[in-house]
Amino acid sequence: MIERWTVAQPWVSTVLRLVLAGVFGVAGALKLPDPDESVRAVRAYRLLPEAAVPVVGYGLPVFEVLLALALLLGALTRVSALVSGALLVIFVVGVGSAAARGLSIDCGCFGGGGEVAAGDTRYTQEIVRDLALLVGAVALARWPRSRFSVDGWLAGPTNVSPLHEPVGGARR
Amino acid sequence: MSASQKRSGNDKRDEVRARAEAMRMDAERRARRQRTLIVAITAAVVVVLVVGVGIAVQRSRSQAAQDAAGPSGLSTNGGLVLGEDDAPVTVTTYVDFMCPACKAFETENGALLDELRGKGEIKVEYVPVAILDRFSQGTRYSTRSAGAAYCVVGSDPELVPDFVSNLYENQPEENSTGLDTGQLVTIAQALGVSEEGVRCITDGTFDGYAAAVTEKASQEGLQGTPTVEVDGTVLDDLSKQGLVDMINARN
Repeated sequence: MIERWTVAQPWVSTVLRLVLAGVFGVAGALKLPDPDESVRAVRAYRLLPEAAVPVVGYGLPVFEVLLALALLLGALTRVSALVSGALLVIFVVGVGSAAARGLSIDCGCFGGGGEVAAGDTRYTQEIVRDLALLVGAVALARWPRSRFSVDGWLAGPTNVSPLHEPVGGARR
Repeated sequence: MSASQKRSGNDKRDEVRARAEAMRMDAERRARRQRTLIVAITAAVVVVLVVGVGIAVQRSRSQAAQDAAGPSGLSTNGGLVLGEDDAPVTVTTYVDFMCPACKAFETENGALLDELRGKGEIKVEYVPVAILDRFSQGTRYSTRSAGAAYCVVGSDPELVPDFVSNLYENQPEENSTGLDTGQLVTIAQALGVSEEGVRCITDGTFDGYAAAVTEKASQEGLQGTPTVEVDGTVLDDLSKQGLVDMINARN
């Protein structure tokens, strides 16, 4: 059982990496074309002071794409996973607080955003999705070693495959 | 050499070897820690730089962040006020010409607003905004149509109500490419909009201004369209009855 996990873990982590990369990549890319809309989506949460709204509106999509790139390449996987998790926690808090305050907004997670009709909010769905991704991010932070990763190539052959890891003699 | 001496020699050699080994591992650990630190700092610097540049690029791409000039004779909200100066109530409409609910409001109340304005009972403030650009396949129809309306505001303000209702009559489907600039010009020309206004529409002169008005309205709390205000109070019930009741309450 343990051995099976040893074999499967890098593949599981690879899938987690790519899923997170896909979600953040798409989310960022869909927000990039219309910076004004992105700013309005941030403002619609009514959480940040106006001075910070454009910074987040312009910067968040870029940051998401950058994070997606790091995840896609498997560069600094553990850090990327932790940052992903932190971002997802922030998103859950933002959406949760919008719901709690009775706002009727679209989360703007994948572009769009702003007010929607009272019956058209998707808070539960948005939060569940983010929590599921959060679980994935935490798992990836716990087991960052994965296939086809820059981290793996940089670490050299000993870290590429657990099956060929020399026992005890690694130091010589 | 006795056996005990030999053993002590071996012990000493082992001890030296162990100490050397420990030192080597220590050095390795330190090197690894240093490498991690360098990677972390480099990554942080790269992220800050890229995001910083990204923010600058996005700001430069933002139409609303540019200092866009608008037509003259605008209200403080950036729109156009029509009606007699002594009309006691002002009805302000924030609309996006791509928005079906805005068309529905116009269908329900457009004629009534014109009538009350004609009787001197109300002033009507038109504030076209652009919040639905994502529904026109990248052609930014919301911005272009609002910009065109501001062109008419600048050249032929008295034609604005007609131009607005004509835009609704020809409202494109959401997620279509919207009306193209030639079609906007055709609508304007059919109403008798002057050459100046037509050139303005053709050049998209006030598209940036439309984006700027939208941003200003958003900062002041505009959440969606249509938003209708009666003397600054947001109207929740957009039916004809709701509008009439609110106007009567203000009179």
